[in-house]
Amino acid sequence: MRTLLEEIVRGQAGWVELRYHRRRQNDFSVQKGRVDVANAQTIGGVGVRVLEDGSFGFASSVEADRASIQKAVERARANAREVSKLQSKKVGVLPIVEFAKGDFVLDGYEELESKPLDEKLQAVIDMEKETVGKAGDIHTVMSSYREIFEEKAVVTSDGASASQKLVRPELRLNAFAEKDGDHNVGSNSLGVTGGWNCLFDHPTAQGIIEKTAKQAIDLLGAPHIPGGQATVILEPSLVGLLAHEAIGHTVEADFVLSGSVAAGKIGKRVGSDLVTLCDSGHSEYAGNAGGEMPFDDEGIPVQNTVVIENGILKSYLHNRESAAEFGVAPTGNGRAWLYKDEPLIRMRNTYLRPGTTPLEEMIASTREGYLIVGAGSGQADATGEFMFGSSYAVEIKNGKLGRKLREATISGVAFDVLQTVDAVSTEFRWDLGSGYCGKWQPAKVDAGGPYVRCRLTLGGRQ
Amino acid sequence: MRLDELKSRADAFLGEAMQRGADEAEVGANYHVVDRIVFEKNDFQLASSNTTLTFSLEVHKDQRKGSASTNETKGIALGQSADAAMTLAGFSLPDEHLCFPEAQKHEDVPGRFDDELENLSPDKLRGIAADFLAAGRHESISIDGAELQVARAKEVIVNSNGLVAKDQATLLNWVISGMGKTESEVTSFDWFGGTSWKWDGSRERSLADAGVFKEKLLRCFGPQKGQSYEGKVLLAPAVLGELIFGPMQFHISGRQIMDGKSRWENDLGKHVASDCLTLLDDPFDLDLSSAAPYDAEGVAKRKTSIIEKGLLKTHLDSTYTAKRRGTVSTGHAGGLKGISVAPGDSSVEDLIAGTDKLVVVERFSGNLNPVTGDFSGVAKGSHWYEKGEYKHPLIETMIAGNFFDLMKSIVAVSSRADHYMNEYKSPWMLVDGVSVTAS
Repeated sequence: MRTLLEEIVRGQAGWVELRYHRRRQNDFSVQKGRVDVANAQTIGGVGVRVLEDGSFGFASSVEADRASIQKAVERARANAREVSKLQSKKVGVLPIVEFAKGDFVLDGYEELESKPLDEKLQAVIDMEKETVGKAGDIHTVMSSYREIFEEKAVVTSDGASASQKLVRPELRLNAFAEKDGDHNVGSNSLGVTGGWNCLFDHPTAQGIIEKTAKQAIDLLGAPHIPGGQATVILEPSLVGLLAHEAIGHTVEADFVLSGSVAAGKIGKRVGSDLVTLCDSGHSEYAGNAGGEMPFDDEGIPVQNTVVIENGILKSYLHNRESAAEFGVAPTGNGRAWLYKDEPLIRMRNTYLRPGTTPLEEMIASTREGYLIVGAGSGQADATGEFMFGSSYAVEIKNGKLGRKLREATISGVAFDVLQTVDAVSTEFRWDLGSGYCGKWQPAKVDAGGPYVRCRLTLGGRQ
Repeated sequence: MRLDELKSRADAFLGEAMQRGADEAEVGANYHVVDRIVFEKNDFQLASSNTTLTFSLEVHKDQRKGSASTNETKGIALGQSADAAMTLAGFSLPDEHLCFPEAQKHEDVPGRFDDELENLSPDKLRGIAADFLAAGRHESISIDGAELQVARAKEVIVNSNGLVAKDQATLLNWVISGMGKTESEVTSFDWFGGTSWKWDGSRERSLADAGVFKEKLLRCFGPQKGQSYEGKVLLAPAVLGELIFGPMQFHISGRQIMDGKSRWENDLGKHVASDCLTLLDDPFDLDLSSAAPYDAEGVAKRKTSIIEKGLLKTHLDSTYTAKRRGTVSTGHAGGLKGISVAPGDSSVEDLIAGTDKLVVVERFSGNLNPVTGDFSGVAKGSHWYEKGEYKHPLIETMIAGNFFDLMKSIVAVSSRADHYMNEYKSPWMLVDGVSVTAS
């Protein structure tokens, strides 16, 4: 395919980007001993982006043959001319940068492709059955699995020419429990860039079954957390959510140009000395993060971008266009969900660097506060004000963990909260590999980090 | 592509499945042509065109289910998808209740297809996009993003019971998002938008929506912290989707009842809400973008009373969940889409006037666990009233409570009902017993 794209690009005038993308996705979902979903999906085509009259135009073709792609190029050109009539600030010539070259196949692709589907489905069936059997109060379990095989090739008229194959498997387990009219749900998920064995490397299948069942029944009858300001220790999934939602989005260069809270703050203090935050296309500190990739959808090799270093804002996240505008090198953050989507500035694997304080020591040195566990859904504004749900909280009194409290929602303004960080753990893990980021189009991302102690607002009962 | 051609191709795909030994099968075929103009970074940035044709197939073989979908439709690709669905069915677990709906007639829902939108020229789309943006602009507003999109959709569902459902529609969609911004202040983020099935009148409606967006943000400057209390809050239609309609749909869903997750399994005819609440499903309301003649498996839709003066009137079923539960489909495969809440007698102003202290919640950024009903989150872009008088916009204010309690604590609904972003129609709701935390 890459050869065909190169041939087509060679005959074009001006800047042209061709991106072939074929996705194969298998989904299984099992509940109450019944297979609700056993689905195989294939979707593919070629996305075409051109720069003409100082504007971008986009079109796509489901068919990946020469004539169909050429027609899409013409539609994209017409679209560019149309938007050019509205766009006041025209896009200049994109600077030549370092492009990805060659063909990349990431670990796990062949392993997962060769594993029989019936074995995968059976594992999902077995996990549902085993989790239900863990406790009498668990009445329903939903076990689901997804694998996404991505095959892409990106060729541009100014030098990118590369292909990649990678696979991202995910597992979700939800246990529903009821006792004396009180209800609770235990939920856990895993997601990696890699194969089957990698998915169940840490935690193991048995580990996630135990954890989910325990979470479902432990919180039955648990009280609600009181609302107000509090000292909290956030576990890695919540640190990842904070890094992604509340900080990562505000440093995406397109949001910066729209006026996000990070605009004009390069070189300024936005967190305590203990805070170093990165967004990477690789997997630092632990392997197989869910947003790993060799190059982005503009053909730029991915970087490990240090966004905040020891509390000082160092960099935004860029695609080619924004990098040119800011006069910096692109960071490999141009990503598209499907062939029919244009690349946008998106995160990959976003994390806080681990620190020097073991978790045990952090808890022991906390007089009064909460350990907040399990990321729920999260939202944040361009102002950095965020709200995240969590699975539960554990009371800390005089350095000791106490009773569990249900459904703590945390809130604050990201850069204010980062200033209050006074301890960062040595432990590190990726913890949001089953997650999807939404920004006009979805993106597979991961996030994580160490345990972090800070102060923020808990949404709870009066 | 014409609708008849799409039907022929769906029939051929169904034939592929039956030739491979399926006991029964269902095919969905969708053809979409979408043009859009995107505004970001305070300027127009991109125009794009996409044409997509997708086929989905579900097969039942020996009471086992498998499915596949693809946009690869040439040569042997559809046959390969049929093979994949049959293979997955072979690995699946037996389920004696698997079924597809019987053949049936559908009432047309006129007014959802417009020749002018079907053939909308790029310059007309460009023109309305420019006007829409101009209506949303203000020196104290930073527009984060906006999009105008025209979608032309053709859809066919056929199954081996002889069911044929065919539909075509055109929809213009607009949305604008951003925040109030001056040198000294940035407000919380918000968005607004809407849809229209036809070109006529869409310009006026989109400009009005851009105006609503602008006014909402301009009211948010100068926010202050509020007070912590437990009591009444006024919920704008924008927050009811998440706090009321989402969990309500969960607990009346036949599937959740079947799986033991619903708390309203045995509540038909009982009070699940205060008698202020009357809610129906109106799939024929053209002011909603979900208006359609049939559900996701081709079963005819009809107006359905869901809650009448607080009494639960029905659960929602697809053909499959109905068979499992020993009832009949209510035409809700794919969920409840046409939510319409009956308005009350008091104006929004009167509802506010009768309160001692009140948060008016314009946007909810938070979590609600549908199983427990517990919710907690930030009341964004919200406003503070004391003794019925407006005081100021709020900052860093959280609300928390429980859905089941909330339903029974609806004190009043307003006489004004909005078609919120053309997603549902609802008045404002005054509710009691909500925890408000001012940080």
